[in-house]
Amino acid sequence: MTRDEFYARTRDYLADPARRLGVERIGEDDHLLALGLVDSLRMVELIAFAERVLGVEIRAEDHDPDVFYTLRSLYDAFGG
Amino acid sequence: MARSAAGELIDGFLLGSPGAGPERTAVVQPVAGGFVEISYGELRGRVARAAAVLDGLGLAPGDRVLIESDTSAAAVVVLLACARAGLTFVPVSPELPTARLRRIIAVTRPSLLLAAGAGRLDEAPDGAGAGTFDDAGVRVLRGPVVGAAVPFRVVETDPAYVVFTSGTTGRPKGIVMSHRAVLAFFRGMLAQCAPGADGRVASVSPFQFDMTMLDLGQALGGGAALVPVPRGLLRQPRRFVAFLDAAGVTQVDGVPSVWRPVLRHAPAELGGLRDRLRQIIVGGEAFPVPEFRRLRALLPRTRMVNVFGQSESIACSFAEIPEAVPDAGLPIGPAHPGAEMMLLDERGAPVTEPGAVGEIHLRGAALFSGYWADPEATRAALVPDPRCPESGQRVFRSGDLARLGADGELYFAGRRDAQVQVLGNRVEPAEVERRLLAYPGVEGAAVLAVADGLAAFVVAPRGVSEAALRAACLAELPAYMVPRVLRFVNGIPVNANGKVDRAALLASLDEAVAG
Repeated sequence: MTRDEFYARTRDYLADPARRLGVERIGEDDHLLALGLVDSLRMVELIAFAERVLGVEIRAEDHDPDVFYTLRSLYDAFGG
Repeated sequence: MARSAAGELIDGFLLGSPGAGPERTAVVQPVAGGFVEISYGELRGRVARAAAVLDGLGLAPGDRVLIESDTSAAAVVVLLACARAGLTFVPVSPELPTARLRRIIAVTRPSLLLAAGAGRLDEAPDGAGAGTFDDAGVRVLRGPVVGAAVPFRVVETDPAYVVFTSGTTGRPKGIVMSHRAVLAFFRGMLAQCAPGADGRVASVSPFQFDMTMLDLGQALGGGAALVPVPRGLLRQPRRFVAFLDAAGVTQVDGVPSVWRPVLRHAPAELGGLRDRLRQIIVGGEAFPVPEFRRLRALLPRTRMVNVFGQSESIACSFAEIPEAVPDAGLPIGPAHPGAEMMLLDERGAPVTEPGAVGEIHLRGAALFSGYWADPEATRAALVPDPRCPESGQRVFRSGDLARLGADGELYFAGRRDAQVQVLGNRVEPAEVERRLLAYPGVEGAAVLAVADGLAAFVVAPRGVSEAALRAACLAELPAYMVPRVLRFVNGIPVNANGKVDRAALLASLDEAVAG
């Protein structure tokens, strides 16, 4: 999956909270936690989503918690 | 050569449990591809070597050592070595924002910073030493500047550690616990709910959260084994349960939010551990009853214990949760052996009428010594025993309100002040409000608790964005203190008494948010 495809899928996935929060477009460096798009419980689901769409197995404990907070860092760590 | 201590310290207690023969496993440490088991004999050796390194630095008893780490065998070694060397440890986790770390350093003035891995050793103040540690031991990179030798021995009333929680004044509040207080807590706890010497206790809490001390008391104090769980696993419920299985875990102590993702995403997997999981200790915040019932249904043979209390005594009661969980919530009390919870009314008289509400006051040896460098807050919390002020005895006025049940048990009934719990962490809304008010242009702010987090109501000019406010909070506050819901309002409503009308604010949120 290309970076752009991943961004598009993830923006789709987060469309509901984004609409609720009035976030028009999630930038690739926007902090998902700072924007309020994820919280601890939704993070569980976002990681499972990333595994599914990228077709990889993620071992969250092997990564800095920060890699899960932006589209770019997610793709850098697990995409490509 | 270290001076001998007068009295028992934390390290002596935790490494000297009767069941802890040298060959028995003390820590089950996850490593790439599996686990390494560290025996009590090996652990004692590592602690002795690390304590010798610390002794060699010439620090004075009571000097602070800031330890930045996740919970691990190596971190346990350093913490016990500090105790043995008479040094007061200040645990912080790597996730702590740097701005908050700086405040803690400024107020505790540590003589030494020790970090697992790279850490943030460049934050060490002038004159302080710095070093790293791992399974091979402690390596001092820069020695501290030390003063004249101090000729005094360490005694058990000396401070063992300082943990920081949210404070109303906008700076974190340091709770000072003595060796004696910690050991009084451990002994009382183990008399009520020991893990069993062949037990394996999973530690899932952040290193700076004193539930980690509870885990250490359970595991090592009980002669059992500690299993540090990599924190990232809590975000992957299926893998978390698989980890518990692979490590042979028999007990998990944690806040309700540890279980929430598991109940949602891996209930069948958790149910598969029903014959293995012997005991679960839940606490840190109220466990919603319907959710708890689901956990109980998956693990019908597991002994479930509700731990209650404040960090000012680590906790104070361990109540076994009955088969049929009351709708009123998980029961609390009585206090663990060696302590006494007194439910007192506003005049300081005991509450005896079932259904009546009072404030929990705690007596006993497990009480904290005071708040670090904050005599005013200390005086407000460690008060003369209302039932007999003449005695000079101080008791802990907890701020926790409770309702007396029909059989003498208690049910949590809120706080006397505005303090709230978020994912098991206590938070003073005033601290978050101050952070918001510090943002340029913000004129008003009110923060209150909603489901799984905080809601902030902010009065600010156009142009101040929600994301910018969140980012400002995130830079200075732990993630759980960053408001989950943020609403811009034209003004903060006040009630007839001129106080913030929290009920009106709550009512303005839709149900899905307020929970």
